[in-house]
Amino acid sequence: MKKEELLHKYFLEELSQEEHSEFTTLLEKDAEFKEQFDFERSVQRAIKSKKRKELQEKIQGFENESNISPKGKVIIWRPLLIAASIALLFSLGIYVFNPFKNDDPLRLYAESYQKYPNTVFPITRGSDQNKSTEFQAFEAYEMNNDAKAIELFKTLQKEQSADYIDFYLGQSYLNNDQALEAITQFQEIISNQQQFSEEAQWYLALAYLKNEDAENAIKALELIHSKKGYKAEEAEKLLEVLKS
Amino acid sequence: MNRSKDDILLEELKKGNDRAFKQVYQDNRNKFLSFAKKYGLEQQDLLDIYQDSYITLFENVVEGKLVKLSSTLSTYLISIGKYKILDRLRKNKQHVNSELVLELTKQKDEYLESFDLETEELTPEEVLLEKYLDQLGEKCKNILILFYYKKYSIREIMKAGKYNSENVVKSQKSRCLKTLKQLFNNTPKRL
Repeated sequence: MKKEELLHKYFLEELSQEEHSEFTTLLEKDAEFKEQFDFERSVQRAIKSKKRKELQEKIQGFENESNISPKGKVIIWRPLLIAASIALLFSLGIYVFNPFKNDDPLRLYAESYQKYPNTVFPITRGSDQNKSTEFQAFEAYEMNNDAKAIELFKTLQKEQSADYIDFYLGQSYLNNDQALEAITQFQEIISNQQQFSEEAQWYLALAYLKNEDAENAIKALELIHSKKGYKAEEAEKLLEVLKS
Repeated sequence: MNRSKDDILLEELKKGNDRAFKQVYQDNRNKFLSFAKKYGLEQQDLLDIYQDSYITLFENVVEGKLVKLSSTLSTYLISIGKYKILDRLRKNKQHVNSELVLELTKQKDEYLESFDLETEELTPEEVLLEKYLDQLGEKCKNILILFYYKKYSIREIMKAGKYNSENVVKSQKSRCLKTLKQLFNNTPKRL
Protein backbone atom coordinates (compact mmCIF):
# COMPACT_ATOMS: atom_id res chain seq x y z
CA MET A 1 0.00 0.00 0.00
CA LYS A 2 1.16 3.52 -0.68
CA LYS A 3 2.68 5.29 2.27
CA GLU A 4 0.37 8.23 1.95
CA GLU A 5 -2.63 5.94 2.03
CA LEU A 6 -1.33 4.33 5.21
CA LEU A 7 -1.00 7.71 6.87
CA HIS A 8 -4.49 8.64 5.81
CA LYS A 9 -5.91 5.53 7.28
CA TYR A 10 -3.96 6.01 10.47
CA PHE A 11 -5.42 9.43 11.07
CA LEU A 12 -8.92 8.29 10.27
CA GLU A 13 -8.34 5.33 12.57
CA GLU A 14 -9.11 2.88 9.84
CA LEU A 15 -5.97 0.74 9.72
CA SER A 16 -6.63 -2.98 9.58
CA GLN A 17 -4.47 -5.21 11.71
CA GLU A 18 -2.32 -6.10 8.75
CA GLU A 19 -1.94 -2.49 7.70
CA HIS A 20 -1.10 -1.60 11.24
CA SER A 21 1.89 -3.88 11.32
CA GLU A 22 3.01 -2.57 7.94
CA PHE A 23 2.65 0.88 9.42
CA THR A 24 4.80 0.15 12.48
CA THR A 25 7.49 -1.51 10.41
CA LEU A 26 7.71 1.55 8.21
CA LEU A 27 7.96 3.78 11.26
CA GLU A 28 10.95 1.83 12.45
CA LYS A 29 12.75 1.49 9.16
CA ASP A 30 11.84 4.47 7.05
CA ALA A 31 13.14 7.73 8.50
CA GLU A 32 11.33 9.87 5.98
CA PHE A 33 8.05 8.17 6.70
CA LYS A 34 8.55 8.65 10.40
CA GLU A 35 9.32 12.31 9.95
CA GLN A 36 6.17 12.84 7.91
CA PHE A 37 4.13 10.95 10.47
CA ASP A 38 5.55 12.94 13.37
CA PHE A 39 4.84 16.16 11.55
CA GLU A 40 1.26 15.27 10.76
CA ARG A 41 0.63 14.12 14.27
CA SER A 42 1.96 17.42 15.57
CA VAL A 43 -0.34 19.24 13.19
CA GLN A 44 -3.21 17.21 14.53
CA ARG A 45 -2.31 18.03 18.11
CA ALA A 46 -1.89 21.71 17.29
CA ILE A 47 -5.34 21.79 15.68
CA LYS A 48 -6.91 20.04 18.61
CA SER A 49 -5.35 22.50 21.02
CA LYS A 50 -6.50 25.44 18.92
CA LYS A 51 -10.04 24.11 18.83
CA ARG A 52 -9.90 23.46 22.53
CA LYS A 53 -9.06 27.09 23.19
CA GLU A 54 -12.01 28.16 21.09
CA LEU A 55 -14.27 25.91 23.13
CA GLN A 56 -12.87 27.24 26.38
CA GLU A 57 -13.62 30.76 25.24
CA LYS A 58 -17.15 29.84 24.34
CA ILE A 59 -17.68 28.27 27.74
CA GLN A 60 -16.20 31.27 29.49
CA GLY A 61 -18.78 33.28 27.59
CA PHE A 62 -21.58 31.16 29.06
CA GLU A 63 -20.20 31.70 32.53
CA ASN A 64 -19.94 35.44 32.06
CA GLU A 65 -23.44 35.61 30.66
CA SER A 66 -24.88 34.20 33.81
CA ASN A 67 -23.48 37.29 35.55
CA ILE A 68 -21.71 35.28 38.13
CA SER A 69 -18.01 34.86 38.18
CA PRO A 70 -16.68 31.43 39.10
CA LYS A 71 -16.13 32.51 42.66
CA GLY A 72 -19.75 33.42 43.03
CA LYS A 73 -19.18 37.17 42.96
CA VAL A 74 -21.80 39.17 41.15
CA ILE A 75 -20.35 41.29 38.42
CA ILE A 76 -21.75 44.78 38.58
CA TRP A 77 -23.26 45.83 35.30
CA ARG A 78 -22.55 49.30 34.21
CA PRO A 79 -25.69 51.31 33.38
CA LEU A 80 -24.48 51.97 29.88
CA LEU A 81 -24.14 48.30 29.22
CA ILE A 82 -27.63 47.70 30.48
CA ALA A 83 -29.01 50.47 28.30
CA ALA A 84 -27.23 49.00 25.31
CA SER A 85 -28.58 45.54 25.97
CA ILE A 86 -32.09 46.83 26.34
CA ALA A 87 -31.80 48.71 23.08
CA LEU A 88 -30.51 45.57 21.44
CA LEU A 89 -33.33 43.52 22.82
CA PHE A 90 -35.86 45.97 21.47
CA SER A 91 -34.27 46.03 18.08
CA LEU A 92 -34.32 42.25 17.92
CA GLY A 93 -37.85 42.45 19.17
CA ILE A 94 -40.05 39.52 18.49
CA TYR A 95 -37.26 37.22 17.36
CA VAL A 96 -35.67 37.26 20.74
CA PHE A 97 -38.76 36.89 22.78
CA ASN A 98 -40.58 34.29 20.80
CA PRO A 99 -38.40 31.31 21.72
CA PHE A 100 -38.98 31.92 25.40
CA LYS A 101 -42.72 32.08 25.07
CA ASN A 102 -42.90 28.79 23.36
CA ASP A 103 -45.48 26.78 25.23
CA ASP A 104 -45.59 23.86 22.85
CA PRO A 105 -46.21 20.84 25.09
CA LEU A 106 -43.76 18.58 23.27
CA ARG A 107 -41.05 21.13 23.58
CA LEU A 108 -41.78 21.60 27.27
CA TYR A 109 -41.71 17.86 27.66
CA ALA A 110 -38.33 17.60 25.99
CA GLU A 111 -36.98 20.32 28.22
CA SER A 112 -38.33 18.89 31.44
CA TYR A 113 -38.13 15.17 31.02
CA GLN A 114 -35.39 13.39 32.81
CA LYS A 115 -35.58 9.70 33.24
CA TYR A 116 -35.91 8.62 36.85
CA PRO A 117 -32.69 6.92 37.91
CA ASN A 118 -32.55 3.34 38.99
CA THR A 119 -32.50 3.72 42.73
CA VAL A 120 -33.84 0.30 43.52
CA PHE A 121 -31.65 -2.32 42.09
CA PRO A 122 -27.97 -1.41 41.85
CA ILE A 123 -26.37 -2.95 38.80
CA THR A 124 -22.74 -3.80 39.23
CA ARG A 125 -21.37 -4.47 35.84
CA GLY A 126 -19.01 -7.31 35.32
CA SER A 127 -19.81 -8.89 38.65
CA ASP A 128 -21.11 -12.38 39.12
CA GLN A 129 -24.52 -11.14 40.07
CA ASN A 130 -26.93 -13.76 38.86
CA LYS A 131 -28.94 -12.57 35.97
CA SER A 132 -32.42 -12.73 37.44
CA THR A 133 -35.33 -11.23 35.55
CA GLU A 134 -35.13 -8.28 37.90
CA PHE A 135 -31.46 -7.75 37.16
CA GLN A 136 -32.10 -7.94 33.44
CA ALA A 137 -35.04 -5.57 33.68
CA PHE A 138 -33.07 -2.89 35.46
CA GLU A 139 -30.09 -3.45 33.25
CA ALA A 140 -32.25 -2.88 30.18
CA TYR A 141 -33.73 0.15 31.91
CA GLU A 142 -30.33 1.68 32.58
CA MET A 143 -29.19 1.04 29.05
CA ASN A 144 -32.31 2.75 27.67
CA ASN A 145 -33.29 -0.48 26.08
CA ASP A 146 -36.88 0.35 26.78
CA ALA A 147 -38.86 -2.16 24.75
CA LYS A 148 -36.94 -4.92 26.50
CA ALA A 149 -37.35 -3.28 29.89
CA ILE A 150 -41.12 -3.09 29.35
CA GLU A 151 -41.35 -6.79 28.56
CA LEU A 152 -39.25 -7.73 31.57
CA PHE A 153 -41.10 -5.50 34.01
CA LYS A 154 -44.37 -6.96 32.79
CA THR A 155 -43.03 -10.46 33.39
CA LEU A 156 -41.92 -9.37 36.84
CA GLN A 157 -45.39 -8.03 37.63
CA LYS A 158 -46.72 -11.53 37.13
CA GLU A 159 -44.06 -13.07 39.36
CA GLN A 160 -44.23 -10.68 42.28
CA SER A 161 -46.02 -7.57 43.30
CA ALA A 162 -43.88 -4.63 44.26
CA ASP A 163 -44.68 -0.96 43.94
CA TYR A 164 -41.44 -0.09 42.29
CA ILE A 165 -42.03 -2.51 39.43
CA ASP A 166 -45.17 -0.62 38.48
CA PHE A 167 -43.33 2.67 38.67
CA TYR A 168 -40.39 1.63 36.54
CA LEU A 169 -42.75 0.06 34.03
CA GLY A 170 -44.41 3.46 33.69
CA GLN A 171 -40.99 5.05 33.30
CA SER A 172 -40.06 2.62 30.57
CA TYR A 173 -43.28 3.36 28.70
CA LEU A 174 -42.64 7.05 28.84
CA ASN A 175 -39.06 6.65 27.77
CA ASN A 176 -40.27 4.51 24.91
CA ASP A 177 -42.62 7.25 23.70
CA GLN A 178 -45.71 5.28 24.76
CA ALA A 179 -47.36 8.18 26.51
CA LEU A 180 -50.84 6.67 26.81
CA GLU A 181 -49.60 3.49 28.47
CA ALA A 182 -47.45 5.59 30.76
CA ILE A 183 -50.45 7.71 31.75
CA THR A 184 -52.53 4.67 32.69
CA GLN A 185 -49.63 3.23 34.62
CA PHE A 186 -48.95 6.39 36.62
CA GLN A 187 -52.65 7.02 37.29
CA GLU A 188 -52.93 3.57 38.81
CA ILE A 189 -49.95 4.15 41.09
CA ILE A 190 -51.40 7.46 42.24
CA SER A 191 -54.90 6.19 42.87
CA ASN A 192 -53.56 3.21 44.86
CA GLN A 193 -51.32 5.60 46.79
CA GLN A 194 -48.42 3.31 46.15
CA GLN A 195 -44.80 4.04 46.87
CA PHE A 196 -43.48 6.57 44.29
CA SER A 197 -46.92 8.22 44.10
CA GLU A 198 -45.42 11.67 44.33
CA GLU A 199 -42.87 10.96 41.63
CA ALA A 200 -45.59 9.35 39.53
CA GLN A 201 -47.60 12.57 39.71
CA TRP A 202 -44.75 14.50 38.11
CA TYR A 203 -44.23 11.92 35.41
CA LEU A 204 -47.98 11.80 34.82
CA ALA A 205 -47.86 15.51 34.06
CA LEU A 206 -44.94 14.96 31.70
CA ALA A 207 -46.73 12.09 29.99
CA TYR A 208 -49.68 14.40 29.33
CA LEU A 209 -47.30 16.93 27.82
CA LYS A 210 -45.83 14.20 25.69
CA ASN A 211 -49.36 13.39 24.60
CA GLU A 212 -49.82 17.08 23.77
CA ASP A 213 -52.63 17.31 26.27
CA ALA A 214 -51.90 20.65 27.92
CA GLU A 215 -55.19 20.76 29.80
CA ASN A 216 -54.59 17.60 31.80
CA ALA A 217 -50.93 18.45 32.19
CA ILE A 218 -51.95 21.68 33.88
CA LYS A 219 -54.30 19.82 36.24
CA ALA A 220 -51.59 17.36 37.20
CA LEU A 221 -49.04 20.12 37.71
CA GLU A 222 -51.44 22.12 39.86
CA LEU A 223 -51.79 19.17 42.17
CA ILE A 224 -48.03 18.96 42.58
CA HIS A 225 -47.84 22.67 43.16
CA SER A 226 -50.59 22.73 45.79
CA LYS A 227 -49.25 19.71 47.65
CA LYS A 228 -45.65 20.92 47.39
CA GLY A 229 -44.84 17.50 46.05
CA TYR A 230 -41.92 16.09 44.10
CA LYS A 231 -40.51 18.67 41.65
CA ALA A 232 -42.84 21.38 42.96
CA GLU A 233 -40.53 24.13 41.75
CA GLU A 234 -40.29 22.75 38.24
CA ALA A 235 -44.04 22.25 38.22
CA GLU A 236 -44.58 25.88 39.08
CA LYS A 237 -42.29 27.01 36.29
CA LEU A 238 -44.06 24.81 33.78
CA LEU A 239 -47.42 26.15 34.91
CA GLU A 240 -46.24 29.68 34.35
CA VAL A 241 -45.32 28.89 30.77
CA LEU A 242 -48.38 26.80 30.05
CA LYS A 243 -50.77 29.41 31.35
CA SER A 244 -49.07 32.41 29.80
CA MET B 1 -37.10 4.12 16.64
CA ASN B 2 -37.31 5.74 20.00
CA ARG B 3 -35.05 8.74 20.25
CA SER B 4 -34.56 10.46 23.53
CA LYS B 5 -33.81 14.11 24.09
CA ASP B 6 -30.16 13.19 24.59
CA ASP B 7 -29.94 11.39 21.26
CA ILE B 8 -31.13 14.54 19.57
CA LEU B 9 -28.71 16.69 21.52
CA LEU B 10 -25.86 14.35 20.64
CA GLU B 11 -26.67 14.67 16.98
CA GLU B 12 -26.81 18.43 17.22
CA LEU B 13 -23.50 18.53 19.09
CA LYS B 14 -21.93 16.50 16.35
CA LYS B 15 -23.24 18.93 13.76
CA GLY B 16 -21.62 21.73 15.71
CA ASN B 17 -24.87 23.36 16.83
CA ASP B 18 -23.92 26.14 19.23
CA ARG B 19 -27.26 26.15 21.01
CA ALA B 20 -26.96 22.48 21.81
CA PHE B 21 -23.39 23.05 22.97
CA LYS B 22 -24.60 25.69 25.38
CA GLN B 23 -27.64 23.77 26.51
CA VAL B 24 -25.77 20.60 27.42
CA TYR B 25 -23.18 22.67 29.24
CA GLN B 26 -25.76 24.48 31.30
CA ASP B 27 -28.06 21.53 31.89
CA ASN B 28 -25.32 19.53 33.54
CA ARG B 29 -23.25 22.18 35.25
CA ASN B 30 -24.87 22.28 38.65
CA LYS B 31 -25.55 18.59 38.81
CA PHE B 32 -21.89 17.91 38.10
CA LEU B 33 -20.64 20.44 40.62
CA SER B 34 -22.79 19.06 43.39
CA PHE B 35 -21.74 15.51 42.57
CA ALA B 36 -18.07 16.47 42.62
CA LYS B 37 -18.26 18.41 45.86
CA LYS B 38 -17.58 15.43 48.06
CA TYR B 39 -14.00 15.01 46.90
CA GLY B 40 -12.77 18.02 48.79
CA LEU B 41 -11.48 20.06 45.88
CA GLU B 42 -11.75 23.82 45.67
CA GLN B 43 -14.78 25.27 43.91
CA GLN B 44 -12.59 26.77 41.20
CA ASP B 45 -10.95 23.39 40.62
CA LEU B 46 -14.33 21.76 40.32
CA LEU B 47 -15.45 24.23 37.70
CA ASP B 48 -12.19 23.67 35.82
CA ILE B 49 -12.74 19.95 35.94
CA TYR B 50 -16.30 20.28 34.74
CA GLN B 51 -15.24 22.43 31.81
CA ASP B 52 -12.42 20.09 30.99
CA SER B 53 -14.74 17.09 31.17
CA TYR B 54 -17.29 18.82 29.01
CA ILE B 55 -14.75 19.70 26.35
CA THR B 56 -13.42 16.14 26.46
CA LEU B 57 -16.90 14.79 25.90
CA PHE B 58 -17.42 17.19 23.03
CA GLU B 59 -14.10 16.31 21.43
CA ASN B 60 -14.94 12.65 21.51
CA VAL B 61 -18.30 13.37 19.92
CA VAL B 62 -16.65 15.40 17.16
CA GLU B 63 -14.03 12.74 16.54
CA GLY B 64 -16.74 10.17 16.12
CA LYS B 65 -15.86 8.16 19.23
CA LEU B 66 -19.30 8.57 20.65
CA VAL B 67 -21.82 7.69 18.02
CA LYS B 68 -24.55 6.05 20.01
CA LEU B 69 -25.36 6.73 23.63
CA SER B 70 -25.48 3.77 25.95
CA SER B 71 -26.41 6.10 28.76
CA THR B 72 -27.43 9.73 29.24
CA LEU B 73 -25.07 12.55 28.41
CA SER B 74 -24.95 13.48 32.05
CA THR B 75 -23.76 9.99 32.97
CA TYR B 76 -21.00 10.30 30.41
CA LEU B 77 -19.99 13.64 31.85
CA ILE B 78 -19.87 12.30 35.36
CA SER B 79 -17.85 9.28 34.29
CA ILE B 80 -15.31 11.48 32.57
CA GLY B 81 -15.38 13.76 35.58
CA LYS B 82 -14.56 10.92 37.95
CA TYR B 83 -11.51 10.14 35.90
CA LYS B 84 -10.40 13.76 35.89
CA ILE B 85 -11.06 14.22 39.59
CA LEU B 86 -8.90 11.24 40.41
CA ASP B 87 -6.21 12.61 38.16
CA ARG B 88 -6.38 15.98 39.91
CA LEU B 89 -6.30 14.44 43.36
CA ARG B 90 -3.19 12.50 42.40
CA LYS B 91 -1.49 15.61 41.04
CA ASN B 92 -2.35 17.59 44.16
CA LYS B 93 -1.16 14.66 46.26
CA GLN B 94 -4.26 15.41 48.20
CA HIS B 95 -5.40 13.08 50.90
CA VAL B 96 -9.06 12.44 50.87
CA ASN B 97 -11.37 9.87 52.23
CA SER B 98 -9.77 6.74 50.85
CA GLU B 99 -13.09 5.01 50.37
CA LEU B 100 -14.16 7.71 47.96
CA VAL B 101 -10.96 7.37 45.98
CA LEU B 102 -11.34 3.64 45.91
CA GLU B 103 -14.78 4.10 44.49
CA LEU B 104 -13.31 6.27 41.76
CA THR B 105 -10.63 3.78 40.79
CA LYS B 106 -12.99 0.85 40.74
CA GLN B 107 -15.41 2.36 38.33
CA LYS B 108 -13.62 2.43 35.06
CA ASP B 109 -16.77 2.78 33.09
CA GLU B 110 -16.79 0.45 30.16
CA TYR B 111 -18.37 2.79 27.70
CA LEU B 112 -15.47 5.20 28.08
CA GLU B 113 -13.01 2.63 26.78
CA SER B 114 -12.69 4.08 23.32
CA PHE B 115 -12.55 7.61 24.67
CA ASP B 116 -9.53 9.80 24.59
CA LEU B 117 -9.38 11.29 28.08
CA GLU B 118 -5.94 12.79 28.29
CA THR B 119 -4.93 16.25 27.28
CA GLU B 120 -1.21 16.25 26.73
CA GLU B 121 0.70 19.50 26.68
CA LEU B 122 1.96 20.68 23.35
CA THR B 123 5.70 20.61 22.63
CA PRO B 124 7.27 24.00 21.85
CA GLU B 125 7.27 23.06 18.15
CA GLU B 126 3.60 22.30 18.28
CA VAL B 127 2.88 25.62 19.91
CA LEU B 128 4.51 27.25 16.91
CA LEU B 129 2.50 25.11 14.53
CA GLU B 130 -0.64 26.20 16.28
CA LYS B 131 0.28 29.81 15.57
CA TYR B 132 1.11 29.14 11.96
CA LEU B 133 -2.25 27.55 11.37
CA ASP B 134 -3.69 31.04 11.35
CA GLN B 135 -1.37 32.07 8.58
CA LEU B 136 -2.90 29.52 6.26
CA GLY B 137 -5.78 30.47 4.01
CA GLU B 138 -9.27 29.61 5.19
CA LYS B 139 -9.59 26.82 2.67
CA CYS B 140 -6.39 25.19 3.81
CA LYS B 141 -7.21 25.54 7.45
CA ASN B 142 -10.60 24.05 6.87
CA ILE B 143 -9.32 21.00 5.04
CA LEU B 144 -6.85 20.27 7.81
CA ILE B 145 -9.48 20.69 10.51
CA LEU B 146 -11.92 18.43 8.70
CA PHE B 147 -9.32 15.74 8.24
CA TYR B 148 -7.27 15.79 11.43
CA TYR B 149 -9.91 16.98 13.88
CA LYS B 150 -13.29 15.89 12.61
CA LYS B 151 -11.85 12.79 10.94
CA TYR B 152 -13.63 13.33 7.67
CA SER B 153 -12.50 10.98 4.92
CA ILE B 154 -11.16 12.47 1.70
CA ARG B 155 -14.47 11.68 0.04
CA GLU B 156 -16.43 13.45 2.77
CA ILE B 157 -14.18 16.49 2.50
CA MET B 158 -14.75 16.48 -1.25
CA LYS B 159 -18.49 16.65 -0.69
CA ALA B 160 -18.39 19.15 2.17
CA GLY B 161 -16.02 21.51 0.36
CA LYS B 162 -17.55 21.01 -3.11
CA TYR B 163 -14.29 19.80 -4.61
CA ASN B 164 -14.34 18.18 -8.02
CA SER B 165 -12.57 14.98 -7.14
CA GLU B 166 -10.85 13.14 -4.35
CA ASN B 167 -7.52 13.75 -6.01
CA VAL B 168 -8.05 17.47 -5.84
CA VAL B 169 -8.67 17.17 -2.11
CA LYS B 170 -5.59 15.03 -1.63
CA SER B 171 -3.28 17.38 -3.47
CA GLN B 172 -4.81 20.42 -1.80
CA LYS B 173 -4.30 18.81 1.58
CA SER B 174 -0.67 17.94 0.93
CA ARG B 175 -0.04 21.44 -0.39
CA CYS B 176 -1.43 22.88 2.82
CA LEU B 177 0.75 20.62 4.90
CA LYS B 178 3.75 21.64 2.84
CA THR B 179 3.03 25.33 3.40
CA LEU B 180 2.74 24.74 7.08
CA LYS B 181 6.00 22.83 7.09
CA GLN B 182 7.77 25.62 5.24
CA LEU B 183 6.53 28.22 7.69
CA PHE B 184 7.74 26.00 10.44
CA ASN B 185 11.16 25.28 8.92
CA ASN B 186 11.79 28.93 8.23
CA THR B 187 11.47 29.81 11.86
CA PRO B 188 14.84 30.75 13.28
CA LYS B 189 15.63 28.09 15.84
CA ARG B 190 16.51 29.55 19.17
CA LEU B 191 18.35 27.44 21.63
